[in-house]
Amino acid sequence: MIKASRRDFLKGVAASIGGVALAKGVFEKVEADNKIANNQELTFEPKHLDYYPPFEKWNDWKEPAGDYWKIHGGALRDGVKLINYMIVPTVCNNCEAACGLTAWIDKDTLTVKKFMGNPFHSGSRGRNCAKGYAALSQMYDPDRIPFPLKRAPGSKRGENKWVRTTWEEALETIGKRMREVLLKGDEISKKQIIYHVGRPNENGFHVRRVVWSWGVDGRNSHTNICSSNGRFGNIVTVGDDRTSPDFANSRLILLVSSHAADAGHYYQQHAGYIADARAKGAKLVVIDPRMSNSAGMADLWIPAWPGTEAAINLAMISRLVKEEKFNKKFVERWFNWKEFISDKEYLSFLKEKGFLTEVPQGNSFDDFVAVLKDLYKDYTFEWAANEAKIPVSMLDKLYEMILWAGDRITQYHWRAVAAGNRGGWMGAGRTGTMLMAFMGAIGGVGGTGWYKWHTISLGDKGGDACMAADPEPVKAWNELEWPPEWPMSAYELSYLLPHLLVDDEWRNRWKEKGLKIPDKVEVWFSRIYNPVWINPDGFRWVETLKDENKFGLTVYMSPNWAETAFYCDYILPMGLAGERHDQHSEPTKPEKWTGFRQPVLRVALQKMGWKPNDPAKATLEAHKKVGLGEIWEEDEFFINLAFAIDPDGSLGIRKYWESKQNPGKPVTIEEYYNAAFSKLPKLKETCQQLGITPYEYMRDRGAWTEATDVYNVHEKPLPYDPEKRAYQYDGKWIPESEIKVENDTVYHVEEGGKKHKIGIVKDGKFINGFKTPSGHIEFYSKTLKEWKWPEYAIPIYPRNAEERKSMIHIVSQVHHDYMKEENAFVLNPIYRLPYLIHTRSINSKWLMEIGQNHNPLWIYEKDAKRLGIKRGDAVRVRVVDTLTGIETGYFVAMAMPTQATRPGVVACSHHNGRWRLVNEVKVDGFKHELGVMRMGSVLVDIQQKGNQFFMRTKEGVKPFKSWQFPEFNKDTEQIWWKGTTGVFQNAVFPANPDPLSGMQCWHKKVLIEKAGPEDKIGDVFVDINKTWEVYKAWRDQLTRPNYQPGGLRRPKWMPRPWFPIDDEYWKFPSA
Amino acid sequence: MDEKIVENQGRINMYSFLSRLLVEEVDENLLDKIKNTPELLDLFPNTKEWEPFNTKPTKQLIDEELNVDYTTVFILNAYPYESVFMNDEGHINPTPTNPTLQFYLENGYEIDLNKTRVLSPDHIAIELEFMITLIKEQLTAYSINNQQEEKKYLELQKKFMENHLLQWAPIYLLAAKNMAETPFYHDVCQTALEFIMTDYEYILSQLEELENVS
Repeated sequence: MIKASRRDFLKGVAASIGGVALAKGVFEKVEADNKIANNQELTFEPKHLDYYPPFEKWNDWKEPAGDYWKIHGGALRDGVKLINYMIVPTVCNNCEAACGLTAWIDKDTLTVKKFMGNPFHSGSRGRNCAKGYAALSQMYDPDRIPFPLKRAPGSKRGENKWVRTTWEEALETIGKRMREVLLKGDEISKKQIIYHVGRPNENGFHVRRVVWSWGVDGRNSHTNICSSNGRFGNIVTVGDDRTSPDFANSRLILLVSSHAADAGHYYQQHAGYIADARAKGAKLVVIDPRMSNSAGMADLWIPAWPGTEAAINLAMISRLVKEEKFNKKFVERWFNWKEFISDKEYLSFLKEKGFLTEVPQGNSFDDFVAVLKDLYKDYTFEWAANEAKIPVSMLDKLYEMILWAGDRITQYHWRAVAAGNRGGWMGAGRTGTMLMAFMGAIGGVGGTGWYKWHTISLGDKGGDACMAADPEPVKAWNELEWPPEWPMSAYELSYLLPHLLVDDEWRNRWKEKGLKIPDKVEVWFSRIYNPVWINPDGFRWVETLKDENKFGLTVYMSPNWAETAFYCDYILPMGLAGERHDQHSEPTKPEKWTGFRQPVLRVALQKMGWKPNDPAKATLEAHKKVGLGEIWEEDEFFINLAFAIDPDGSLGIRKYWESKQNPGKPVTIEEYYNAAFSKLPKLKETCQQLGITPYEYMRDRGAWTEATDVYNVHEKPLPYDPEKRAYQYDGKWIPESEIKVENDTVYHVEEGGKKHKIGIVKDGKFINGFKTPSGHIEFYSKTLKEWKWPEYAIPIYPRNAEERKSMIHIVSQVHHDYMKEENAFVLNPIYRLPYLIHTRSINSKWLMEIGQNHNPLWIYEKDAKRLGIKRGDAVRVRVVDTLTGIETGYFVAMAMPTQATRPGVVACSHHNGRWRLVNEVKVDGFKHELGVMRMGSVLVDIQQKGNQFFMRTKEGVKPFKSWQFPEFNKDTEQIWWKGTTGVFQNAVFPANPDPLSGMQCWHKKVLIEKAGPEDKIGDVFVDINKTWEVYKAWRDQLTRPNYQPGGLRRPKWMPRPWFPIDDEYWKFPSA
Repeated sequence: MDEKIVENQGRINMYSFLSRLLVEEVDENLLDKIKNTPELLDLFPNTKEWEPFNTKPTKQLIDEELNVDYTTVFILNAYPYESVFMNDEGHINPTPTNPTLQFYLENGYEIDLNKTRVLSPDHIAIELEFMITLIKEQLTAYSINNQQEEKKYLELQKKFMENHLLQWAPIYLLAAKNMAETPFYHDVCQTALEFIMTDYEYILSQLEELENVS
């Protein structure tokens, strides 16, 4: 109709509309000098999603306020608030991935308005996950601890009576106590100061230089509750502790009970590279009893029975060998097969054990292949499918993918396979890495590299700015961290600290052999580490921490409250991602990148001309000035603490922290990190061209990539300088005259004859090789043989029930052999949630809102039906140790029947279930009460009867009005989640260390039943006498201490992290 | 009255009418006006034959039929925003990066969405209203015999149609028409579609006339 007579229509119909026409009149004409002309710096049409303001404008960037746009609709006009931003880079601190962040600081109010990604960060590529953006909510946390707290005089630990103190008082008291201990100067005193760190998120400053400079063997970590089994298999095999996969160029990505594509290491960087690879056609296979988000996206999900992953790996190797489809060239060049095939005694041992039919006479590669075929003949797909309780067809598919992918296979095996199971190291780094090695997928493009290839560690390298560089090796061996029962443990047995402290019988046993083991820790620092909640046997920790005869002075260093803080003497509020200094690098891709975490508000103030009164306390002063609170950070604290411990320098500590530029004064952050970053040659060169210092580069850009495309480092020649006539190793030049070659191994021979392997000889050249004793990939670990574990010196797995009994050390404590009862299940507690990280995200209202402390027990639908359990039912989960048969206690959880966990396996993440003793803490003389974890924990009541503890939830999360940062936190009055479905399950778990690696084996056998009328979700009951018995059984029945008078405490080639121990103390005392 | 003014005023009326129908639910006044104006009713050929339209009281018709359909089509299912159609992500883009917003700003117009409840300046009703703004400018120029300005605003209309409205509105209106369950909104979409297409031709013809004159 309209088309027929356009002009007539307009004149007729359209004109008749007249008064009906009521457009809204939203447009308004503005004059020529409209706002856009005045704001040319605003960028409206970025061409790419990853657009960032140009770097030269980071100090002065204007952008409209976000909430204003929402209210007023989106146009620039009078009244639109433009925020004057300064953009200061930092690094996220919520997980170990260390993604770049930029803080967008409102220069008018000196507040951070938002955190965004950092485009200079080549690992995270300007991207972040929810936890990165949530850093803002942590910064302005309503329950933030605003000043240092000290246990009220006369009160006991756990009574929660606190007084406000000053940083000066804390430094003086702690420094004085440490000085008193160190002045004793004896061996015992060097074991009585312990710095206990959670995930450190830094490379060398605290974990190495600080503790080392005190001259004590006192660095304790969280690693044995996290990744020791993940590391141990790789250390034995390649001398490095974790894979660094080139996911982006891979054809087959194998996530073995890891969920790197949705939450685990190194989410979100790994997730991005996995996505890149899949866009190019890569296949993703996830082996995991639980259907993680990664498994849900995978091409193949193999829900293997927990702890049977080694069987799958060996079945793949068996078929590859049988069909001779493995990468012969790589295996011949890089396996230590010569060492293996020539050790006829060991081959005879394997024959005796029934693994070999014949011991070959010859020593050729063909003989080795023949042995492999014989050795692995029984690991058929049918056998492995039966062991892992999966269909054979899954293994057929996996094998096809492996053949198709060739040498472009990547693998991550960091979570449950390793951390869940006794012997998990065999399923993870040992057989897992071997599978890749058989395909030659080690080191090249699309293959798997190694941690040390791709990480820059120089947080401890600021010594050039100080009066003294590196301290001497420490003259002590702390058995409270490195007990003799676990000579090869990947890291400290940190979660056993209370057990070891109270065990006089154990102490006396070793005392008789000349060991000097203290019965008390005089000063204990806990930094971003919450052992009461995160460690097994939490009530054992509570009991021991409360005992002042066991823990002298206890210092809790953390931005937020935590369960452990209730039982400490000092709570020192430390900085978050944008409030502290760290050099932080991680192996997330085949590059060497590092980020610089820094206090962004201090940097902004200094750029705006502000000067601190005391340059050594600049961050503390800055945080006070901008109203953040008396928040400090570890680097400046520890530098000042060194002066408090050693005011006159007589203890020899101060010199490591005294400025070379201003003798007598503490080194400043700028001096220290400038010296550290100057160790990077390419960064230094770039800075020379730019006319700035390396510190300024990192301060302004926040990230640097020193090397890209770092592949096949094992094949690289040792750098040689013909003028110096020296080879470079570990950053040092070694003269040719100090080099010696024996059996194709290159050694550096120091004065006095001490020699270190620095490389190997291949094709007549000195090349890096691997960091194992042989310099090769150790199919055969002579170390394991010599350190009393010969049956596990090769990649191996028991073939039947009888062998599982004799090889119990590598059989999971939750193997299906142990599941006799109808209601027996494996409990998988160790998987991550994408929006939470262990103990450090409770201070984020945004993350808590997503997480809600919601923590159901996943149970397979048919299992639930069989037991009459429905969604939302309370179930009692009884924890039973399979070595002793002891039931240690129970917890009550909320059941969630689902198809996303395999039959026989239930799952309940232990990253939830936080609790608090009080809602608020009253501090004398301060008008407000300090809120305690009110957004993500439950208020509990703990009843103790002797050795039995019972915990019950009193109330959950409730809305509240915040006095702290009230504008930012006005929404806390609208909190809607209750958080009462979480449960503190770790307390019921006994400490059960892997006999080789020392890893806490997290998976548990549980008996599940419908809760009784007296039970309530969140209930926890445990008898710590029973957990104690379980721990002792694991220690005494499973470990093999390698004690010999005057003998080594640990293989010398397995260095002690992080600093050197004097050779004398590396040995047991002579008889 | 000058024929050109009548025709362009008719365009303004038509854009206003369509913008009003698409920006929110119809009200009783408007619906009664449609019912009682034969020329307008001609734009709703299917509605005319629709029984509820002829039998139900206006308020009841709106509450029980028309509002339900409006919500289903324009709020829940076929989002009438250019960014939804033109971006790969398919999201409404209410940010300063919205290219339609930029078109307004670059040509000297601010927008106050508080007067509506739309979420973003690229809502179809807002784009139609922008055409009104440009036609008014064109008429003002014509009334003072400023041919250069008149041409400028006609060219702006052409450019806005080519770069924005025609890029997505026809496809959108076809989709919405198919989704509509009442003849009324079926007709609204069909009329809007036809009008936009013919109006583009009308702009071209006006420009051609101006060229010939100069």
